[in-house]
Amino acid sequence: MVLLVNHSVPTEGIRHREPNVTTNIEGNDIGSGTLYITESFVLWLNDGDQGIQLEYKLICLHAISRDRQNFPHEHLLCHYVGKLPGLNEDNESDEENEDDKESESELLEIRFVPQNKESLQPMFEALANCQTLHPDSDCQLSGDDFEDADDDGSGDGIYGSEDGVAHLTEQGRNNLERLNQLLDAGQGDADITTRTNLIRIANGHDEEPPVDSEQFEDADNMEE
Amino acid sequence: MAVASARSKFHFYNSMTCLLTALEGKVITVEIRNDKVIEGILDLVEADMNLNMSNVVLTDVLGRSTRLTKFYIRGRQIRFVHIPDEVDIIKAMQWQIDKTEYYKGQERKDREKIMDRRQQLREKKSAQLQAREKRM
Repeated sequence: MVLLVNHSVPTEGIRHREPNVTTNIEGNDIGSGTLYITESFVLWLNDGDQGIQLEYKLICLHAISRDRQNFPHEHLLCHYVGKLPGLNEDNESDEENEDDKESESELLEIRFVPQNKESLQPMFEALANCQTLHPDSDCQLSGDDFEDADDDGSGDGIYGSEDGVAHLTEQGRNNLERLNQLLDAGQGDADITTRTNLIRIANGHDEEPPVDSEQFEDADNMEE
Repeated sequence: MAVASARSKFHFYNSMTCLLTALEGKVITVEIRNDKVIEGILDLVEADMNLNMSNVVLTDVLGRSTRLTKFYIRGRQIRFVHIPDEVDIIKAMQWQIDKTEYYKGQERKDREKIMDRRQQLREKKSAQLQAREKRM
């Protein structure tokens, strides 16, 4: 049986709050309470502020089930590969390291049954949106790859190297050329910045800077 | 792909995500971890290959199946995706990339217009300044 842990009621980043949700873990009802879908975690709390907290990265799938053959109520199904206190906690945790966090035996089926069936859709969407906020950090490529790709002036983290360009079709190369020209055409800023700075220096005073510097910050953001 | 970060763009062009994106709207079969198989309509593919699907049948290793109205899975859980026979993989990827390039081109044109407007404003401002300088 899962151990319910004391949690404080979340206050920040709540994307969905659903009262009167019955939670069922692996076929065992653990009571009714409130489900909070926040930007950092999913939390279900009963009236005594005790409950379970789920991490997004470990919720491998979620779905709306209206199929009453397997379960008598319409519900939000989550497959969770993390550990919950009181469940699958001790059996292998010492020997297994982090890599095996998702080993196949540890999957938990968690069902959230809201009293109000209309809430299933918004609950599903809130969960999906928050999942998007939590990409897998070790997903094939390290963060450096993105940064490198983005810094080389090609703009979008694509075709950063000669190699990449070589793999393009002729049309692709033409497209790239055209887009690069478009980009270059849009970048007259360096020139105007220098000029306005010169004017400022010539004026010899800095009060009331000639051009709102925020404008340029904006412009930089545009090009990212 | 309307609002796309550098990261998601990188994934789009440098992984097979664009192929999956080209399959949006089709019924596909996906094999996932834990030897489960899902079949359903592919609604939306995210950059990390997270899939949004609907009208899914989830079948586990023992052959028990569950019908799920809406379905979301993290890309990391996916083992295989069965590409429908009628899809030409290379063409599908090329089509998807071309389509995205086209929208990106449009986006850049819009940006260019905004930049032009800004530049005009700046020129006006610096002209005013020059005028003031002369007066001094």
